[in-house]
Amino acid sequence: MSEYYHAIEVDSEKCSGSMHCMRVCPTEAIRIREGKALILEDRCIDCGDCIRVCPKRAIRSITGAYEDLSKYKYTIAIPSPSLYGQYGMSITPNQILNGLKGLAFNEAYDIGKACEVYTTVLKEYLHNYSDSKPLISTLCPSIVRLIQIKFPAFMSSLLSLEAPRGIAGSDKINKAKELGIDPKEVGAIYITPCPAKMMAVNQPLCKSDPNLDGALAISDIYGLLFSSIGKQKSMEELHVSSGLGIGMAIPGGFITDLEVENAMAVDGVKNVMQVLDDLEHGKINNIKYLELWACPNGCVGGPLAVENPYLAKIKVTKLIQSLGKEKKINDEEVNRLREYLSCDVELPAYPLKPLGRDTVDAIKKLKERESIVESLPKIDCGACGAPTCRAFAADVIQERAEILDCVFKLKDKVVESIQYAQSWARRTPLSSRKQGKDKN
Amino acid sequence: MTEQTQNKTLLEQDFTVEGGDFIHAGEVSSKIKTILKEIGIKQEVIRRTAIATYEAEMNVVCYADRAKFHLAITPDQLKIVIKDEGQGVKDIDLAMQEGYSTATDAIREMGFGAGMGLPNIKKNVDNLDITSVVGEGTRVEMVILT
Repeated sequence: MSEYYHAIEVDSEKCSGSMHCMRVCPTEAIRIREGKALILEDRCIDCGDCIRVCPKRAIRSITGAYEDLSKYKYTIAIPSPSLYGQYGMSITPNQILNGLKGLAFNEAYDIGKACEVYTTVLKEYLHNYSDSKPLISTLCPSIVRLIQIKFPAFMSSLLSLEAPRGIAGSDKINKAKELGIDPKEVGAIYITPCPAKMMAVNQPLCKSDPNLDGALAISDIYGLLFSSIGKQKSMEELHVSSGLGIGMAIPGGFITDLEVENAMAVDGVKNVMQVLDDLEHGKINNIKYLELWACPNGCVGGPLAVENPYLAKIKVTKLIQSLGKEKKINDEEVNRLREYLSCDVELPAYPLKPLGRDTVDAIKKLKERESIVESLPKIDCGACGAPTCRAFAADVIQERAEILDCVFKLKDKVVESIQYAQSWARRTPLSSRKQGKDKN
Repeated sequence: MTEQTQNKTLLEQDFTVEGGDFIHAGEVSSKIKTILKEIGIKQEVIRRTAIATYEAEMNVVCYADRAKFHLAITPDQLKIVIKDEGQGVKDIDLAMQEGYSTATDAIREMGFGAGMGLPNIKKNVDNLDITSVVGEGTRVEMVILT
């Protein structure tokens, strides 16, 4: 596996090089080359903002295919809690789980159970946490990646707990035992609202050995599931958990469940970057728990979610109210699942490389870049294929672009060339040249 | 390393901060931090510099009319000199005490003026020198060894 696994790719057949993606990318990870979008691996955090804006739907998530389920002897669907907000107000989690089971899955996992365990353990964790630095939630894999590349100093503040989806994934071991088959033959498939979770399946936060086997995009199975919901002859009782922790599908939605003072929830990569920037300056103090989400509106706002995120938010909120927050999972089960939560963050920081090989060289490059920026129009037109004039200048000094890739620079060059050509055009033949004139 | 190369300034840059401009407060310290990240300065040094420059910037925004931040980077240190035009500091020793503040209620209501600014700068830098003329302005020089 390469150092950077990404779950987003450009379909160059469909891509028209229209720059929508390049302009919204919060980490400036997209360039346009030869009329197609190119993702810079070292900068991409798999947030999927590009997927949302592409008019050609040319950026896709590398999530699994529904047909792949046949690879396994036994499959478990593990829904993101955000899935519960995707269908009409009257559709219950139990109907959704039965609907999933009605598809090619052998089992649909009650994710609320894992959310209850996660919430219970995190509450204890926060109760004992006394560091002056805020603990940063690791539920959103894009945020973890953002910290790895742009805010490596906060790596030590990352909450080292496996996410509910990971607990559910690890639980497949017991299922395999029960069935008497190899755990490898049991496929734990996450139903995801975003490509970032797919990235996390391949590069998990805690273990080098992934506990999930794949992810299916909500958008890919939305229609299938829609047709399946309510079609079961007899409904099984698959959903037994409460609303405790389900609120993690929306920003700040389960903060009250944690009973922690001074917790803050932030959504949207740019907002998150602002907050982390403020945190670096000591501008934000006394915050104990920081919940950060790459997507505006959190998981229900995921680029692979279908329902309008604002409606989905209402749905999730109402669901929590109706389910109540009294823990329904018994202590024995909590203790059984608790072991799957333990986690040593194994991901390294991947800070963006400095401009040069050492400080002296980097400063030299910085000056070169700034002097190029000064010579550019600074209107960030994007025609060069970089999102800003400064990003273009950086590409030039890193030899990823040439100065004449700027249309304004090219125009200057054309004018200069014409003037040069004119100077030759003014030259007259020796036979008709007046003495002392037009020598050129 | 010879003394000459040690003192050689690799990068110098000026920034302006306007007093009372709370909207843009923090931008200069962010810019300085970005430069330090781009040139590969150690995380720990960046962390301390980010806090110290932010505190200094807030001091200007809260108490001065305007200031010039001068950043100078040599092979072994970062030096930031802040010259402001403003009311000045009457008693620097007193201002260095934790909790001492001359902030108005308005500034306190915004969450500033807790009297931790200068002590916090001192905590994060290797060398701090402050001179001030009441009614004219203050000069703060901070050095952080890299």
